[in-house]
Amino acid sequence: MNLLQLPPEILLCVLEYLSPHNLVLCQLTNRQLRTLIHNSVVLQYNMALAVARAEDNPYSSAPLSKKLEHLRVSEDAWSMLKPKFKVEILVPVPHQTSGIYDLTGGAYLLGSIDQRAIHYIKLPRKLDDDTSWRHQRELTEPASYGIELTLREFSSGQRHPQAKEERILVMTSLFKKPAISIEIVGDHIFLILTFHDYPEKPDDQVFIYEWWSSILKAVHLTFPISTAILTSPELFHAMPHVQGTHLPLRIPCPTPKHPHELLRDLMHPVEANSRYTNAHSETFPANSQRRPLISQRLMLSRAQSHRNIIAHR
Amino acid sequence: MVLLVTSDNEQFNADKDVVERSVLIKNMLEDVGESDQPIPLPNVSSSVLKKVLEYCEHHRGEPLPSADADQSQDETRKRTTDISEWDQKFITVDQEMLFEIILAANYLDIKSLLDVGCKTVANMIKGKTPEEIRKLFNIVNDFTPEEEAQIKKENEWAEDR
Repeated sequence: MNLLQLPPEILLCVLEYLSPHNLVLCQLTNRQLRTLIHNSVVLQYNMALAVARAEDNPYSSAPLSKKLEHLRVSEDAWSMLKPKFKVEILVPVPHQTSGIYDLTGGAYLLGSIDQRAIHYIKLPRKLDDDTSWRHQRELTEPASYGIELTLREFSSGQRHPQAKEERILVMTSLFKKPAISIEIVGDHIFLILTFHDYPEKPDDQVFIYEWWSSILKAVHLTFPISTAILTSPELFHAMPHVQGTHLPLRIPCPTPKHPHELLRDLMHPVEANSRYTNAHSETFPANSQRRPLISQRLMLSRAQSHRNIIAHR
Repeated sequence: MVLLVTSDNEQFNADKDVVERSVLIKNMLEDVGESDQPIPLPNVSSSVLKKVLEYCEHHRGEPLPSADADQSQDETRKRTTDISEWDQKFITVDQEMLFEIILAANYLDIKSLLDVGCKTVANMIKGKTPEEIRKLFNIVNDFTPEEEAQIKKENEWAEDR
């Protein structure tokens, strides 16, 4: 009797104990083993995880075939992403900067120290594109310590044509100059205000607006946030600065596009003595018209264990 | 006591709680009720059944795994191939007997024994080159050199491990 005479279900049971690396070597022995490994969703998924340097998310109830499909589409997309050119830009910053900055699809933004102007560089599309600083018009002097959102179209600097209101008054505050971070995903603007400079340590505040209608969807006062991330247009996660679990916020939405699994996707429990220091999400590089919803690669690093978690959807 | 008859017509007497580690036999006994009828096991030879009964005897009284418990969870978890000391000694047999025990465990539905068998085979494969695996299990290399090159190419990612 020979190993290959065992029934396929038993051979699979054996193969499932092998590491992806050993599976690869096994595939090279013989056609029958190759076919068996090739046709098994479990084995293929485990190997795909190894290729992507990813871990399975045990909290997701999606069937393995779906997980495998997503992983493959995602990896394919990453492998297709080849830059047309690579250029290192070194631009001296002519102004004193504030904590306002962002890197978007088309521009790098950097606020000025008085928080009254936004300077930006248009990212080059061709090698010889101009990468000098421009600046968005001076902001008006606030009457009080008010936080106001102004919705402008980036290309023209004019009021955004789809926004019902040009300005949204977010709040007036006793505290001046909060650190502001903004994320815009889909219909929503997420505004996080952090007041670093005050000994009384006011709570961080999270505002969520539907930007085109100016409707305030949610406000949260929260513990100091170390980092925040969006994993879908409807799901916002704030990782607390102190040890503990993170705070997922679901944005009220008449027709939620995502099932509950999403929440569990990120519920990697935080171990004792570790905390999230950074959450980073990369949007999917595939053809965005075919896949309007995001698929993201999420990395969370933890301060003490120095472990990266990469979660795929 | 339960009377078992093997493919080569040998009879084995064993305690009910020993043979009931086999889900197949357990179900049979439940179906026929109290009876002195011998149970035929046409797929198991006497030399293999002897080994299987030795295993069941040793593990008598241990809880049986509940039906398909955590099956789905099991699939992707990095599964350990550790085998207890006694089981390891027990399963140190020639390849022919190893495969026969695996087949019998599968037929008789003794999950823990099937696992021990599969883990043992997996451990034999681990860390070996394709050529070493072929030699160990008498497997013929039926790839053309082109196919072999192709598969190697598809799996370049694994090389740096």
